[in-house]
Amino acid sequence: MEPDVPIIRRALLLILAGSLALAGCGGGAGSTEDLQGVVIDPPQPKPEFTLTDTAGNPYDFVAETEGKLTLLYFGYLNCPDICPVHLAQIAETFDRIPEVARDAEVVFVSVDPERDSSEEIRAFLDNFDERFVGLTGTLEELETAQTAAGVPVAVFVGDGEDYTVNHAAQVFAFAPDGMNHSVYPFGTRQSQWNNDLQVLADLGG
Amino acid sequence: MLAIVLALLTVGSCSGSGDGLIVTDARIGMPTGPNAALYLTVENHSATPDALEGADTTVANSIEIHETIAGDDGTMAMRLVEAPMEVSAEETLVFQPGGFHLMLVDVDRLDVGEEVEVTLTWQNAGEITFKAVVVEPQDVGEDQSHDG
Repeated sequence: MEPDVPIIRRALLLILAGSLALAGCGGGAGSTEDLQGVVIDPPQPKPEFTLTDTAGNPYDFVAETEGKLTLLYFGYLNCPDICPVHLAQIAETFDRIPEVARDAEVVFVSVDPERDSSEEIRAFLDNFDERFVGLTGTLEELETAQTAAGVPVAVFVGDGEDYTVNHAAQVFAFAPDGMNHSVYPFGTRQSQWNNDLQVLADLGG
Repeated sequence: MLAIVLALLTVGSCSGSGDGLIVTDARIGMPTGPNAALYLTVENHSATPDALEGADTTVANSIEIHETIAGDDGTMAMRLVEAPMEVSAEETLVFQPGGFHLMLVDVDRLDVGEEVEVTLTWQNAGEITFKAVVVEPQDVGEDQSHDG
């Protein structure tokens, strides 16, 4: 008889999980339990830094993104393998749920100021969504931003024109409540983005 | 449904072979910057090893072999792989996001659906020419495309 107990318990858990998932689909208050990304527990506050946007204006990350679903990603333009995938997936999710996209801010920070000009960053982001914000700064400012975000500072490997950049590859997601609830490493599926951006948008402000 | 069938047909046409080596699933993520990544699978059906000496296309200045390496701290780095790149007898080499890719350096602007001719030069098998299809950046993965 003993083996039956865990099975019943498991069934109950499944039912519970099912009802939670249903609750999440009903709109209103979301729950971090519905997140499919890597959940940050406890949630972390936004990093404080100011960089320069592609129009040349100062961009205070905390002030500009207040109350918005915010995605933060550090990358560089000469990165053909992984950087475009994250941004293209986010853009595709935004196409599916425009009501979420409307109040969201996607912030791409180029960690390669030597090669990536503001114009090039703008042109790069326009491939995905013209609303995406591109930031740059001096190496020192960028180091401050990366340290504030808790990612290893990008390292430049090699010399001449052909150096590559060793950089953080995960996207940080902040709900409208201003907290970082989850991160998305390379390899995140489109369905996970579709689910999580809706869940995060519902996490209130 | 029709779109899926068409996509499968397109992928099917993007293959080439020569002397026991078969290249399949060749696809290029639509260029969004100065470079683009070409992914493919090479199956060596022969009993002898071979080695990739170089790659060429008219739409880019050069093609380099690169490997993306994931660090323990959430970072990723890209490393240049010096040719020749060996493929053992009966081995399958998979170039995929987050692993190996062929980097098209200073690539032309390419549109989704466009087919690009690429030639791989092998020590034994010689030149293998095939067409790679340009796909949306989010569709370069093997299994992470439209699944939801």
